[in-house]
Amino acid sequence: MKNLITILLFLIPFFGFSQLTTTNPDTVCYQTSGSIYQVPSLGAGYTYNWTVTAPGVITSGAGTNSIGVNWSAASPGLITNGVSVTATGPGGCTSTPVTLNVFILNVVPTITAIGPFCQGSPCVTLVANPAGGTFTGTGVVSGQFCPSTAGVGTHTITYTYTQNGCTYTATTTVIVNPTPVLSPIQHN
Amino acid sequence: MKKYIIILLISLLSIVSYSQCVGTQTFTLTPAPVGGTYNPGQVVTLCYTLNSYTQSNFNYFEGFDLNLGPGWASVTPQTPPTNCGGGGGQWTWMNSVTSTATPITTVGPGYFFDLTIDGNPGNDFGDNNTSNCSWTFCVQLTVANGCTPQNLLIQVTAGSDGVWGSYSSTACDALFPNTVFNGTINATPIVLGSISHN
Repeated sequence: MKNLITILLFLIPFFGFSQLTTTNPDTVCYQTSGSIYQVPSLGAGYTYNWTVTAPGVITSGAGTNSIGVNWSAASPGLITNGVSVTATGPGGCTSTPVTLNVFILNVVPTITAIGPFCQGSPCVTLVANPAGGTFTGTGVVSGQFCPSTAGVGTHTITYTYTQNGCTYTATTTVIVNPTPVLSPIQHN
Repeated sequence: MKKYIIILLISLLSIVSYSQCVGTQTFTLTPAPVGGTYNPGQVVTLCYTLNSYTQSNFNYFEGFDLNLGPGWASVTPQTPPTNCGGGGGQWTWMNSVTSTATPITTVGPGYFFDLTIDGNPGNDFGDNNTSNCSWTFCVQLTVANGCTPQNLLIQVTAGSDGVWGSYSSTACDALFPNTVFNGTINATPIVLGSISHN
C-alpha cells in the first residue's frame, strides 16, 4: 500500500493537474483571422476588459472571458503585450491586468531550382530552405525528383513546411525534355 | 436547509439582554456573512426585535437608533415596528431625531415613534407598552462598492422617550448599543488566470 501511494505521488505532477496555458509569447500564424483567447471564468457578475494591440481587432466576445481576434493585418514579428485583460467584479473591484505577448510568425520557404532534365536523367535530391518539410508532386519520390517517373513535360513541385502549427508552402516548376531519338545510321 | 440552520443559529446566538428598561433583543442577518465579511455591492436584510421593555417611571419606548460603519453605502427602511400602544402615533423612519428631553441628543438613522405625527419624534412621548409588546423592524443594507476592507459595523440601540423624546424622567437613560455585526467588506483581490490561446 505504501509503495502504491509513493507511485501515485510520483505520477501526480504528470497527470491531470496541469492548467491550460499558452507559452508566452504566443505564436500566431501570419495572416490568421480567427484566434480565440480566454481566461478562466470567475463566475457570474464579472466583466472582462480586453485590449488587443492594433492592427489586431477583437471580433467577438468583448466583455466576456473569451474573445476572438483577427490578426490578419499584423506584420510578422513580436507584439509586446499584444493581448491584455482585466476582470471587474460585481462590487467594482478590478484585477491586475494579465498580458500575453504575441509573435506573428511568417516563414517563406524557398526551393533550390533544378532542371531542366532529360527524360532518362537520374533522380535528383530536392533541397529547400528551411529544411524539414515535405515535397510533393509528379515525379517526387522520397524527397527526390525522378525525371523518368515524372515523364516529359513541365511539373510543379510543392514544398510544405510546418512550424509552431503554422504551415507554409513554396512551389517550383521542373521541365523534363524528351530524349532525342535518332534514326538508324544510313549508309548511302 | 443549511441556510435556515445558519439563520437559526445566528438568531439563537444573537439574543442579548440589558439591564434597566430594555429587555432581550434578537436579530437576523440575511444572508449571513461569510468569514466575517460581505461582498461589495451585496444587499443584506436586518430584522431586529426588542422582545420586552420595562417602562420604568413611565418611560415609554421611543425608538431604535442604528450606528453603521463606513462600509455600508445605504440603509433602506423596509418594515417599521407595530404601534404597540395603539393610542395614536406612528413608527417613522428618520434619518435624524433631536430630543427635547435634556441633555439634548441627536440620533438616527432609525425607526422612532412619533406620537403627535408631526414629523418630529423628538418632541413627544414614545410607544406606550400596554400589553407586553415586542417591536420588530427590518431594514435593507447595501455594502459599498469598494476594494478596501471598510468596516461594516451594525449597532442598534433601543432608547426611551426620556432620552430621545420629550419625557423628563431619567429612569431609562442608560443606553446599551447592541453590536449586531462588526465585520468588513470582502476585499479579496480578484486574481485572473493566465490567457490561453486556442
